Amino acid sequence: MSEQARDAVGDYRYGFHDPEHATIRFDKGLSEQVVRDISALKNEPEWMTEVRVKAYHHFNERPMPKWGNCSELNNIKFDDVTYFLRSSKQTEKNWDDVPEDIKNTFNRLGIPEAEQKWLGGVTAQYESEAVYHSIREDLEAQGVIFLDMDSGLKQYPDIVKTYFGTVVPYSDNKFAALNTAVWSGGSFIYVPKGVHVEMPVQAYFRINAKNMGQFERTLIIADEGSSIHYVEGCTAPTYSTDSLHSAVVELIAMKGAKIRYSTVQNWSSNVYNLVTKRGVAYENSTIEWVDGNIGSKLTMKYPSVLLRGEGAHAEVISVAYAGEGQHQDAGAKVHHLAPNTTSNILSKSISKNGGRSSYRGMLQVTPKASGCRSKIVCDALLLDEHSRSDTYPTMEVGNSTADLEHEASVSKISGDQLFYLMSRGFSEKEAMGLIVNGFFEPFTRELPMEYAVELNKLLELEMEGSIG
Amino acid sequence: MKMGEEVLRIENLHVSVEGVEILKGLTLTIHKGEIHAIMGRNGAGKSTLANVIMGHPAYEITQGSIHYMSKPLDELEVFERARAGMFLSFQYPAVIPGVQVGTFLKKSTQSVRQVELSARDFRKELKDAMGMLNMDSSFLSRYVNDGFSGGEKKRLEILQMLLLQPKLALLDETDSGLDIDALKIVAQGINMVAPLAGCLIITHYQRLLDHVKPDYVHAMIDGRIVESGGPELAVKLEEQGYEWLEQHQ
Amino acid sequence: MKYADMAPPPRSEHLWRYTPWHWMHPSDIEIIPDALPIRFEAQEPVDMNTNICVASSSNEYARVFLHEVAKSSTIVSSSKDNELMNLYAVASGHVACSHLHFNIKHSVTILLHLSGEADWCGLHITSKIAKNLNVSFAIVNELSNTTTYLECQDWDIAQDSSVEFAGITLGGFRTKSDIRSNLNGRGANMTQAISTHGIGQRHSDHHIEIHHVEPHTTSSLSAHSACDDESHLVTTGLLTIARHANRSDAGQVFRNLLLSPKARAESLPELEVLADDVSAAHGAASAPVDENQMHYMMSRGFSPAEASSLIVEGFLTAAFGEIKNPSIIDAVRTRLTVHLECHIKR
Repeated sequence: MSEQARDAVGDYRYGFHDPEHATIRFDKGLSEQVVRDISALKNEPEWMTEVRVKAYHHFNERPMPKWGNCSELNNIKFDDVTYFLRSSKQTEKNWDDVPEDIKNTFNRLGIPEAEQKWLGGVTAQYESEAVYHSIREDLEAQGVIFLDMDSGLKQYPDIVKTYFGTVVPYSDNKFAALNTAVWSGGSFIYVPKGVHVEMPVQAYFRINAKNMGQFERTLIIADEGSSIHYVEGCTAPTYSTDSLHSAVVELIAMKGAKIRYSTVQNWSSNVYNLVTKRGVAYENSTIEWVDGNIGSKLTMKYPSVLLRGEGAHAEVISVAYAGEGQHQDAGAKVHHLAPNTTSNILSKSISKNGGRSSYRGMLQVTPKASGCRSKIVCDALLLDEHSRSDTYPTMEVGNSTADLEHEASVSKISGDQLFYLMSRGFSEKEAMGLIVNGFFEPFTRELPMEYAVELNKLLELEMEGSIG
Repeated sequence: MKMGEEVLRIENLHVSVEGVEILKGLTLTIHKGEIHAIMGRNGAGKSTLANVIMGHPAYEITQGSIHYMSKPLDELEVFERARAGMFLSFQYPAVIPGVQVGTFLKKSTQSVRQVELSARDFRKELKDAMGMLNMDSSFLSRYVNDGFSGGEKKRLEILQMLLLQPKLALLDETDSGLDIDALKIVAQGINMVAPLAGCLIITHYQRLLDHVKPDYVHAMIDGRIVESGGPELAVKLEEQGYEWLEQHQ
Repeated sequence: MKYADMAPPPRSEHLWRYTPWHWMHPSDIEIIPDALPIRFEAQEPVDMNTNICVASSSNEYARVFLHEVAKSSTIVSSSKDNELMNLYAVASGHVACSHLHFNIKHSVTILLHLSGEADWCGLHITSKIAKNLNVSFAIVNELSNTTTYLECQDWDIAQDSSVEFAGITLGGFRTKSDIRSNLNGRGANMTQAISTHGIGQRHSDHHIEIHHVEPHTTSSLSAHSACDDESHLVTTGLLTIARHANRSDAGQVFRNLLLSPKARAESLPELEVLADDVSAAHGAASAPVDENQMHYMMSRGFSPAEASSLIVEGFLTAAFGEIKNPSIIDAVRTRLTVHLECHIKR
């Protein structure tokens, strides 16, 4: 990396970019024709083209949300975004067949190494489409489907048609409409009845080109009594212009199934990250969102669970780290729609150097849902006086048997803690890093070990330069 | 009288906190291998002395000086003092939620000794030290001081002292709130470190001094050392209180 | 700003999320209705004057509206320390509306009893509290169960002054209270307790804002809502700590007790913190009646209605745990007990 490039990249370690090598690149901007062209290029069935076009019109008509960080949202220049960029002719099953420079990128990110060591399957998405995909043979033999979404639509059109857009319809919000119109890539997973996928499967999302929009679409269906742990990671280079990431994730946990969806998002600070994540949990099933938000310019993401079956359980653990010029507007939504459903929400955020983190949550208990329990804990840590922390929780209780609790606190690192750690030989930076890691520990504990280590390193890097 | 090298020299030290003077001209010298005990009532300035030696930012030295290993301390940050071999066992150790004791001890030992420790060597060293202090290995997976009883906190402080191998050990009321068994264990830890370090024990009570034999005992009143002597002074203070010293002044 | 020039607030604003404006307006939202003033009386002589109501100094929608509807402003001034003001406000007729201003230069206690049979009642309370005072204020809403009640309150608290605020809502068909406090000087304090009893089809909405503008300010808020029958109780809060308002200490607790399958409760305790050296915590909880408590009381001979009434009384009284002024505690408790006795007999 040249020195100039290094300056531009700053602390962000994944800020490098490799030369772009598009085989197909659409012109900037969005129109019905662009939407139809994307669909045609992918040889999609008619119904998908129609859904895309409807969604496109909804996106156009739908006003920007009037809540959250409106001024930042209104800065998004939809006409400057490239909506589709193909870098590789096909999705490879063999790592050696992936184009050399893309392979380099993922090598630098440590993906193939991780696959060998601890993953049950990997998909790597570069710009708009998956470039590499693999799954362990034993899982395939048990009938587990793990594909990129485009291949999923080709190979299992009936399953996709049955579930696509049922959890997050395009009319849900403006960005869900945008995603539905121009989606490309993402993961499609089906776990058959009773199959437990013991090793996590991973998807890795990388934006490389300038002004790129990434719109992956993920659909995970865990059939009765099955379980799966899905992990996703995201990075992008640091450019002076902005990129847009607007994904939709739909999870369906059938009776007794369990889905855990872990994210460590580490976008560079020029990415708008506006993601709709929602799961439906049927009888006695569990959906867990483990969501780490580091980086990006503005993140708006509220992983949601609809507890539709009796005894279903939702767990949302999230952390957010807002540095200079960043706004992490994250949270969780849980809708208790059936009796005896339970949920736990833990949210932890850190703001430093003028960053802002907001918790926005919704907890709803409908009249029919008796015997529900929920507990929400939000802790915020402010590292300096320029930073900001907000909490916007909502509780709607329509059933008298509900037992709900919400607790929030805002604090700073105490002088006593710093003095104690420094008296044990830690520099001020190291001491801050240790306290921050400790603060996030309830989150990192839930991640696969390799991710936890990576996250801790990341946080330590973020702490560098935080002391004046 | 044994005379090792000079570890700590405090001359005419005046210290203020938020404009209020707490130490009012304190002088004290400690050599390697010596155990000094400072006794005094609440508010005499004992904890202030320990904190100011360690470099707590809230305390301002308005007059006088502190030398450590014959060099002035003023410019050194807290962690640099720790890395230079100074150790303070806190009266009220801070809670660090989410940070496991095991991780903390390894990182701390590495940064003080400034070497990478192999996991195996460190584990062995840790096991020996914990065995000596009668600490269960389950301590290692708990969070630093989080939910610890008073005795557990003090034992963790002593464990750190054994691992960090200080040249100057400051023990601020390490004996308070301990039962007799825990007190003996703590004393044993201090006695292990003492021959290679200068030791300053701050205490209310004489009973720790039954197990750790001090070379010097100092009585502190209102920010000054008003009387110094041998172990017999501790007994006298315990029996007679401090009034006879106040009349002296 | 004129009411006619303003657009009605959208429901996307939290303030109006559960109680849209057209529910609160006495008729068609374009109309400024004809109103009688609310009648104010004092038990003992009080320095009280009535003037013509001028336009609101605030641009907030409901406040602008109230000032255009109200024909008169009643100004109550304190005259000596330890003064106890027992004020009665009676709203009658079709539409009753007033502006009530407290000009406080002494440490006083104010009890405001609000009653009446008006179809619609609007009240804007403003206040100016001088430095270094201890002021206690209680407002007891015992309007008829058919009245729609729109209330706005603005409390400006100067340096080293401390306000104890107790509010209890026992009446009204549909009520919306928007209570805002500004801690404008160092050492200013607001201790606020708000209880609401939801019965019948009552819809009661409280919006409580506390703004820490200066450093070293403290506030505590506890809001308890007991929801029975088909009632719908809403509590939204906004607690802000301004940049540089360091060493501020703020705590809020919102509690809901749900007593009936058709009752509903909403809580939105929001927190915006822009200073780092602060202590800010809030909590919200919603829980059913404890069956062990019910069982215990029934085993001692209480009917289910009596037992649940006692639990409600305890729950609503508990909100006032941090209020110290005995006159306030006494007034609030007495009104609550009377109300619950009447309620149980119905």
